[in-house]
Amino acid sequence: MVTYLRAGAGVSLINYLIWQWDWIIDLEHIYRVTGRDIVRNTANGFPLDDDTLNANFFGHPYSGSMFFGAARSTGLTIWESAPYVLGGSLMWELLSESQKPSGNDLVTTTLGGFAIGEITHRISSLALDDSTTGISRLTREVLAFGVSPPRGVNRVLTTDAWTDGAPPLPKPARIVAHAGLDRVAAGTVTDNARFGPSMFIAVDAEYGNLLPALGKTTIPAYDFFDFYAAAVLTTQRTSGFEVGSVGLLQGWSSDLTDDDGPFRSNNVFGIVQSTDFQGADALEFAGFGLGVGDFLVLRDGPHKRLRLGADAGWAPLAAVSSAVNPFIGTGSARDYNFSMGGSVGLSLRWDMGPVGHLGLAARAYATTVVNGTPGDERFGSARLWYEVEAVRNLLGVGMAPKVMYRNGDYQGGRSDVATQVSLQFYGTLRL
Amino acid sequence: MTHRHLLPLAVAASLVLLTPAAAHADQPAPAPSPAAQAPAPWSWGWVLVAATASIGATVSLGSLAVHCPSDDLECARWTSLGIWGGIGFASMGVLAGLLVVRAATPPPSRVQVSFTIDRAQAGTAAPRATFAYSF
Repeated sequence: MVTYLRAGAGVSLINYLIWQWDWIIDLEHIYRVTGRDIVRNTANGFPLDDDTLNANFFGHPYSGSMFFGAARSTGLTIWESAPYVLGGSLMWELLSESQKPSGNDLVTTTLGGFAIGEITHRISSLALDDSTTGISRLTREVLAFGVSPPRGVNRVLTTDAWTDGAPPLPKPARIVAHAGLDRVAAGTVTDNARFGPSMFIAVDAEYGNLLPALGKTTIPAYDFFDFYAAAVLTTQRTSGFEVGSVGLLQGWSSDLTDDDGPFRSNNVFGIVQSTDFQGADALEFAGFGLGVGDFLVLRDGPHKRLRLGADAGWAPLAAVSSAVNPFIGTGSARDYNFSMGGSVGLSLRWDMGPVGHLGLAARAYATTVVNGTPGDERFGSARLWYEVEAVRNLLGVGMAPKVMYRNGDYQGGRSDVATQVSLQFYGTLRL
Repeated sequence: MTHRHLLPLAVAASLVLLTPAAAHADQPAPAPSPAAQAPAPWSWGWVLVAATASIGATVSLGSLAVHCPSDDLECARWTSLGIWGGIGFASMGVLAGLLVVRAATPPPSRVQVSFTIDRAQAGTAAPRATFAYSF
């Protein structure tokens, strides 16, 4: 009871703080809400809004992850925390905005917030160790705070941030920070664009090893996920963020080899959730996926492993935009459409010992426009990377070519085609 | 199979039968959901929760009832502050009150029991049973 109430109060407080900030900076279309607006909001349903791709597919999922983190960090389970994301989003849409509540915000906040919230919660857990003291403890708490701010606040309020406790149970994870240069070239059938090299920083995480706990054959929600987040720093249009994740909501494992040790090969079939926000390119898109997937893991000792993954599912909401295909003359209020359809994902991680680490993350969408210029859209991306360590388990270098495409056929015979190729060179730091 | 092999099996079988099914896990059972823990004892924190929630709700509901002319933006500005100020006040008060309640609540006692039979012994060694508890 206390925990549920604390979680609810935390979510309300986050909404209040956002609203109060908007009030202070005079963002009047949001904050100036009266009883009449709220009654109208409640009565008018949830149409789709005209906010930017960035606001709808990055900002809202991030705020949703704050709601989730506020609930999860009180001690609630992943599934107990999920309704708080929807509740927080409903509260914001109905009570805080003088504009109409938007259905797309509900979807992106809830689905994205759930995924990113649990991922950041799990990654922050990797940093925390209640048995440490001094600078080590402070560094860990600050890191965890940065990854999951609501959890950091909760730990300070409850004094957990400085209370002695047991060390965490070790969890297999590969977290690598990247810093380097990103060069983008993009084009269409009629136009081309080249962008100068940009600085970028990123984090690549593989959490969990896809092996069930001893004596079990199932893997619980988000005990395994891939997560990649990048920030591209440039004065060019390609500045922005990228966030992508594939997480297991429930997995069923079957062993492929007779041994029962940690290096046995296995196959995991499961229910998979994906999030995708490609907002730092000439060609931008976003989407969410929910479906089934299969992961095959072949292990050969502690340093050699091949993981192949494939998933397919429903994409309840997706959108694509590109600088080289402006929506001029289409009558659309946005430079993108809201669409719905299916997505297919592929992933590969190949640990080759001292030879390096090879990876692939690819996802393709095929959707039909549900709001905007009527038509069909197909888009996707594939990022291949190769990393090799110069200092074992610490420093290395990597390179990653990436291909993106969009192909849309719209009412009236209009067609939009765009491609992008980019190349990253970066240093790696194993965390 | 000799009596040296039968004895550990007999002990193991007895433990399986005499301990609850939930204790047969290979690793410590996860901590119970907070909702499943014992209810919190009475605390002055509840007074803070009730008082701030009541005041916040009153301010918010009172502000909701204010009728602003559609062209009076200043009225809307301050009315909205009342609505959300009440929500913010209640949220902070409830959170503070519940932290007081939490601080007054003794930590839940946890007893974890695990029992494992390891049959993967090489050679002629008997299966090995491990019974462990922690609290």
